[in-house]
Amino acid sequence: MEYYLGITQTIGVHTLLGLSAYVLLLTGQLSLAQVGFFAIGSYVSGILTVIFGWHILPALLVGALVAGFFAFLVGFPALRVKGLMLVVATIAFSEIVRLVFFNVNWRVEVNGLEVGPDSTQGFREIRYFAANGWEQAHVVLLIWLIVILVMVLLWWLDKVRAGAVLRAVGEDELAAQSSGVNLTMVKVAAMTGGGVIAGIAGGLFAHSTTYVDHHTFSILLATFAVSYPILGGLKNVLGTLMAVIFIQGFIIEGLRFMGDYRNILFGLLIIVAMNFRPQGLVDGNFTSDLRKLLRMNQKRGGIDA
Amino acid sequence: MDFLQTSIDGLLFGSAYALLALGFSLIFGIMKRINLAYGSSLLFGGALAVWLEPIIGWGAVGVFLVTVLGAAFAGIYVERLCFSPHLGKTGVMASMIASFAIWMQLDEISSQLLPHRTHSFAGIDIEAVSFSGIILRGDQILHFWVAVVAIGALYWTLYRTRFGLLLRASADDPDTAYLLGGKVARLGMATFGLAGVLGGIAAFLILSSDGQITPHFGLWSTFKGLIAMMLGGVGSLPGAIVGGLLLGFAEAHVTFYLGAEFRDILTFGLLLLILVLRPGGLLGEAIYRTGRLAAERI
Repeated sequence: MEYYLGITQTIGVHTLLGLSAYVLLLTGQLSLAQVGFFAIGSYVSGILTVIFGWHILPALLVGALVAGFFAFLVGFPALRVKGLMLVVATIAFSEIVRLVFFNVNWRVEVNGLEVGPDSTQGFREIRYFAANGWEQAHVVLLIWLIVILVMVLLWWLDKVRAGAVLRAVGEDELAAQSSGVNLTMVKVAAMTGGGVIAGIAGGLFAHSTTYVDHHTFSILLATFAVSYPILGGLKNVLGTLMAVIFIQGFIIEGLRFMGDYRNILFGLLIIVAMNFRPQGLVDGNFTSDLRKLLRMNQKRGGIDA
Repeated sequence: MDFLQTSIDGLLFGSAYALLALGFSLIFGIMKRINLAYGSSLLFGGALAVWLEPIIGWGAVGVFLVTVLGAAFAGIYVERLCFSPHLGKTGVMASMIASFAIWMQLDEISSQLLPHRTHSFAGIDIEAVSFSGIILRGDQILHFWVAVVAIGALYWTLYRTRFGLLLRASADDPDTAYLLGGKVARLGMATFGLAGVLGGIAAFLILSSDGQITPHFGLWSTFKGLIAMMLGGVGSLPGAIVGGLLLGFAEAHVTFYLGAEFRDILTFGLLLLILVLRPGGLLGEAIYRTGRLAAERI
């Protein structure tokens, strides 16, 4: 049971990470900085609960806000570069954040134990949940409540003007600009929003695994983060969720019995998925099929009644 | 004196970075794509060479040949799976994610070929040369000359052969090149093969000077090549060479004056600064602003 709860936690955290990249991809920005914001979120909220003894919720919130603030700062210079240059610039940002945390050493004695980030040893003993009597099921519940909240928020965003503006910038910047969209504002807002979501994901990750170090925040994780929405499709938030379940649930956990050969197969499965559905797993057809299916059921219900 | 010594060391090491960057630059210039699996294909070449060394047994020559051929083969494999199916404008992201998947795959295959993680790599022993107080490591001088010859051969291929003309024409405008009778269909494969050869030479130089190979080499060389290319200029060949030398120079000085823990922070900081101040790199801005890149928002 604990094993499945563990997978559910991982899927939740990775879904948040994927959604943070999704927001940016809507505006056509491919960013590998999400793992930098993730790292900021996890260190800040970890320090708040471990060293200052805060409650988890305000700590998560502050972690998310700090990550969002850094995303806001990164947003402005990142406007100058586009496409693949942006990819490289954001890789540089993530690596700088990782290397800075690699050197952070802030050991404090709390209740007779020395805790806090210990540079190369990483940040251990983020034991808020265990210390306050949370069971794993509660942690899963908290993570998924936040995931659902974020997904509903993004779903709603797609239904109102803001979503249309984001997608317009993603489709054609020039056209969007000539229709009076403020590019700077939209792009920086998307970057900030993505940063906040990644920050929450980082805080949740640090507390649910109790341990982070610089290996956690490698560029591999950032690449996973952008892979989810691209593999899942940008049509709506469900694509990201499906891609996370496909990669984390099926390929990584489901194929664990294959041992070391799993990664070899991982590559091929992604290639196959990308070749057959270049627009993502959940593309326009999938959504309309789903809608038709739902409508059919409703009709049947009507006749029976 | 220290300054001069450090500068020379840095520039000599930078020649290997320049080769890595040239491989990236070729792919970027012709395909307008970033190949995340580039370093992994070089790692695959090196790992294959280590694995085959006892079977072939030609010493350093065999290791060199297998590294280069293995890297070129892996490069073509990457092109077939990740890049040729996604040529259109919408394929930028799809091909990047696909190359990410192949990166994981090649890394795993290489780890299987290197069961002990760290393996010794055939080195070349050449005596160090010293004159008027400056010491030059023999193998680094060899690096430098190998890099010069490889770059010369690349320039000759690009500017003196019909194949090079076709490559350059296709980099400018693949549609027009096709309409004028150029066989552009297999050009992607040739580009990736050529980039793999350049990268394989660089990988051999770096690995033999370290004397060992670990599975970390893949990501490391992707980063170094990418940074060197970006510093110098996107898709510009002189830019790649300048970027490689600059990266070697900067790393040597930061390591010498500030210590190794600052090296990577400062190289990434430098990269971020240059990208923000001059998008497209030091020598590549014109390409970025006026060429197809600007039109297609890549």
